[in-house]
Amino acid sequence: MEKNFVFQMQEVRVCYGRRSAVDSLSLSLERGRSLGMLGPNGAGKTSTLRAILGMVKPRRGQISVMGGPPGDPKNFQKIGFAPEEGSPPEFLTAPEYLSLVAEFKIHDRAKRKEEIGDLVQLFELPLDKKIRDYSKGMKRRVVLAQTFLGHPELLVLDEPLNGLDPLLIIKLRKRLEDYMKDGGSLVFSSHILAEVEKTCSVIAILREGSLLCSASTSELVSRFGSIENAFASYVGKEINGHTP
Amino acid sequence: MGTLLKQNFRHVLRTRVLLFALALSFFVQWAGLQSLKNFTLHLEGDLGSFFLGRSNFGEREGIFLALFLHLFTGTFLSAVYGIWVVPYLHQGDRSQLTFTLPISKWKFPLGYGVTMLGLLFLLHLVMFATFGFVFGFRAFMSLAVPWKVIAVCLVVETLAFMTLMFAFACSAMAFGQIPTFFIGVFSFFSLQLAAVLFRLNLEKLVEFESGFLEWSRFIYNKLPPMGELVFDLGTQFSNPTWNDKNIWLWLVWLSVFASIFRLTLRYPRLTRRSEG
Repeated sequence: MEKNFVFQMQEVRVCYGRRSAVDSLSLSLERGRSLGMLGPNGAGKTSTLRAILGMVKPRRGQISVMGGPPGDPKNFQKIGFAPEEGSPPEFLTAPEYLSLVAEFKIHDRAKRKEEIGDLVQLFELPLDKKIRDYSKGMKRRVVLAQTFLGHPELLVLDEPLNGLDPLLIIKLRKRLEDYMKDGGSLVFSSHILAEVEKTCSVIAILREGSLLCSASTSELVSRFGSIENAFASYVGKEINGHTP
Repeated sequence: MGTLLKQNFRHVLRTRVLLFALALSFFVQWAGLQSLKNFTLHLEGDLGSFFLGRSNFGEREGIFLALFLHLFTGTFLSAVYGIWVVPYLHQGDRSQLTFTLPISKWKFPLGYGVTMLGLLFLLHLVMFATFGFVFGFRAFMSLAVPWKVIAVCLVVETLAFMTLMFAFACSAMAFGQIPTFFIGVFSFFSLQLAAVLFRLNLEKLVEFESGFLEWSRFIYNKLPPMGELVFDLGTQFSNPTWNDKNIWLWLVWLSVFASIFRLTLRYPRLTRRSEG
């Protein structure tokens, strides 16, 4: 496994019981690049992300994350992850939860305080309210905020835009752009094709657990006119007569 | 580790588990000890002087009763902490976020163990404080029981509660909260029943197939000595000899359940709806 890749997967198969969620998937991401994962519901996007993070054990295949095995706690120091359905502990306030995560990731107390302050401001998080009193969208903000703590080398965001209001989406996009400029790597799974097109340099399209296509965003746009057309063509539903 | 402990204590404080456990412990201890004391006075006043000349119940019985009642409050705390508090961060929507924290998974059982020790320490304090309120704090100066006996009883109880807490947590992680409650009750009564059968030699009154009894006794002797707790306390009070067999057994089961709990953290406990 090469060092300039943040992760590499080879012929990976993930199953839940007898049901196969991902089959013979080979995918990799170079450092400093952003990968957008597209696919209809049940395509295996979330399962692929979980396999990268070591949350599920693949039945077959090999995965290397930052040169080590997936799920290694040392690697989580360098990874920020926002699951699609994640809820922080509800008895804490947002700053307390961010502080909990930060204490594991940032050793310098002043730096920790500064980063938490920035994120609380960016995501407009209430200071005193317990998370149990938050709306779904507010909880989403806390989950997203914690991913940026400690300047991770890899961000894994599963449907990050779900439940966010448009202003927050713009703020998040700007923050991700800054993160990419600083040399970060990103894996971004979403149903919002336009957002993936704006954010990611490489796009992978999955269907029923198989990889249909992995190409640069510019290549897909030049070939199909837009990511929307490329997606529709690959998943088999024609729009404007495009076929792969 | 400090961060994890801080989070654990916030959890038990803010969910009011600690407050409820301490209040319940105080109430159970106070009601039990006050009843014992009233019964003592009643015997002294009406019957005691006639039959006994003095009461049979005093501080010695009081501290035994306190340690006996402690079994119920401690088991209650172990159940609540093990079934609801410990799995909280590792199940459902929270599990993925907890899984990706950059810490060794061993630190979780260690953190929960230390937190439980802290809670038990507070529970022990409540027990002694209630005893002091009922019998007077001067009673501690003239206890007819060596402090070593009380210390051994507390060590055995502490080990038992820690083991139970991890056993409940393992079961809750594997089968869920409600089934664990029923599994716990069933196991508790089975072990108590087995202890009564074997300790009081009641098995001689019932006919069993040959070999079944030896086999059952062999298995029982290897299981967590839950049913032995009351007998262990009684033995310490009647004949304070150091029998460390059950202490070792508790230690072995504590290690076993803590290790199983660690294994349950190998992958996050995902909900079926999120298997996409």
